[in-house]
Amino acid sequence: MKLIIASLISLLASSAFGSFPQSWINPDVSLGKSTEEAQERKFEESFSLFSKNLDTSVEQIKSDKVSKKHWYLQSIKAELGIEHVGKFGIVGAKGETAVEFVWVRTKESKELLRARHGEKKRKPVQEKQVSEDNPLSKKILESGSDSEVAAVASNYVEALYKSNKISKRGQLKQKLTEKFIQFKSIVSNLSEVPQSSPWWVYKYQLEISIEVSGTIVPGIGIGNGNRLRLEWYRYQKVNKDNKIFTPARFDAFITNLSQDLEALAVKKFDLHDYSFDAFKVGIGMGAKGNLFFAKAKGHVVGALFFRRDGNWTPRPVQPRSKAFSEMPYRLVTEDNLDGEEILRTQIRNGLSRASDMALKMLVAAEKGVRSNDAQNKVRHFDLKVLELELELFGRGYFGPVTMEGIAVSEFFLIKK
Amino acid sequence: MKKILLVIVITCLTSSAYAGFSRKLSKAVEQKIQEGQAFINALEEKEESGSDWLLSRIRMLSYGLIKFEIPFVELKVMPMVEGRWVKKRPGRTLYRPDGV
Repeated sequence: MKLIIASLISLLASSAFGSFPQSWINPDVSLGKSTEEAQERKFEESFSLFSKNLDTSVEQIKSDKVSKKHWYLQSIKAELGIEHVGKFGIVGAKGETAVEFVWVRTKESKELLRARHGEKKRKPVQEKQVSEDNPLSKKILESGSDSEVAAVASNYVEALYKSNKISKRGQLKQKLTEKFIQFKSIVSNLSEVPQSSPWWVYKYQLEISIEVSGTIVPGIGIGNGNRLRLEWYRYQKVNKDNKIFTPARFDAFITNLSQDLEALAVKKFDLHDYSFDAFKVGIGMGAKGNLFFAKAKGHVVGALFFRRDGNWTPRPVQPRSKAFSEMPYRLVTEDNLDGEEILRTQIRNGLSRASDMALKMLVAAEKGVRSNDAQNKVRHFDLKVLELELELFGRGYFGPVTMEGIAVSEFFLIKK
Repeated sequence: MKKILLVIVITCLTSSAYAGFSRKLSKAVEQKIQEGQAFINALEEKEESGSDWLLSRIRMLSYGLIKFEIPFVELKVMPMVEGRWVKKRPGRTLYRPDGV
């Protein structure tokens, strides 16, 4: 117990003095090379100390006592906020989450639990293979259209209404259903876009948030909220791979973005224990069915998840025109539905800068965690994922999500 | 003697408060998960179209929120619980670019 309190105190102390370099918060601020380097060194020291203390705190919560129901703590997640001045800490003042740490219980620890509690090793579950001729499989492939998403929207609104979270349901139900169907119908054609880089879209997500809050006495407010996330995973193709790009659809957005991600020089991460293998981007839809970067603050937010396949071999695809390759991106917010144009080169530069930031953060975090690893003790939790949320600005650069900011992209650094 | 009594009283009060809080918390978490389960159960009869993309995971998060507005700072405390429901698709395997 004393150890937990001590590590929590040192954790809070390390976060109280830590801050992101000012040039990361606002790249227009020029402080001179030496000052910027000094700020980055200071960041590395404080973030490294913070990661080390966070890692130590997690290790203290071994939770190796298994209840009668055989529940055990499988993973731990910590979310960090960043203040508008760049300071980071577990409790961010008005800050949105900007960095996430995810620890997963190690194999060693699982073995220890099994040995201690006499639990038998579970046999791997054999998934039933159903052939394409099976009536059940056919049902999935052929039945219904948008009935499932309509049912989700309807049930969700009903559940909110029954728990008194909302007072009117009719209009909300209709709006949600429309949004769901619109999003699903546009995005479900994603697998038709020919793949031209190791990055491919493996999942799309739709998020609905509803929050109710009020002030009870001056200075103190209470509230509650609900968030529903629907995730569509990509399955093996029903139809053959497409080799032709269709500029009229959103092919340029997906193709150019997947190539820009690859141009980030993923090799930067080669010498590290973690690799840059996944990327999330917030998206919106235009009236013509095109996709754009979305910085949404509303109730319904869409996102695409890219994953990198290092073993991918290029396939013959139709050559693309110059206009296709140079097609600009758009950034749209609720206040500016027309959005603003961002050139592809700007996004590429912004992504490169963002990956440098992710790399520096990783170096600092790794340093802290490695010093704990070196203690030659059995580790119960292993830092598996480090996630950096970044906001996209109109001029194509990415910066940390700060006060009132909404994340538009997330870099996932996953342990190899 | 007084000190010992005081320590015993404080220990009893703290442990009973903690036990009460712990019971309420586990009840609240259980209730939230049951609400989510009821929502998921209502969907089981539906099937979706023959697309390459299948609704495979639903995540529901509920949170409470207390905000303290001190001059220049707003401190938020947000206890939250999230349930994740995954649906397996018989006869279908997840996509891999090289089919591996």
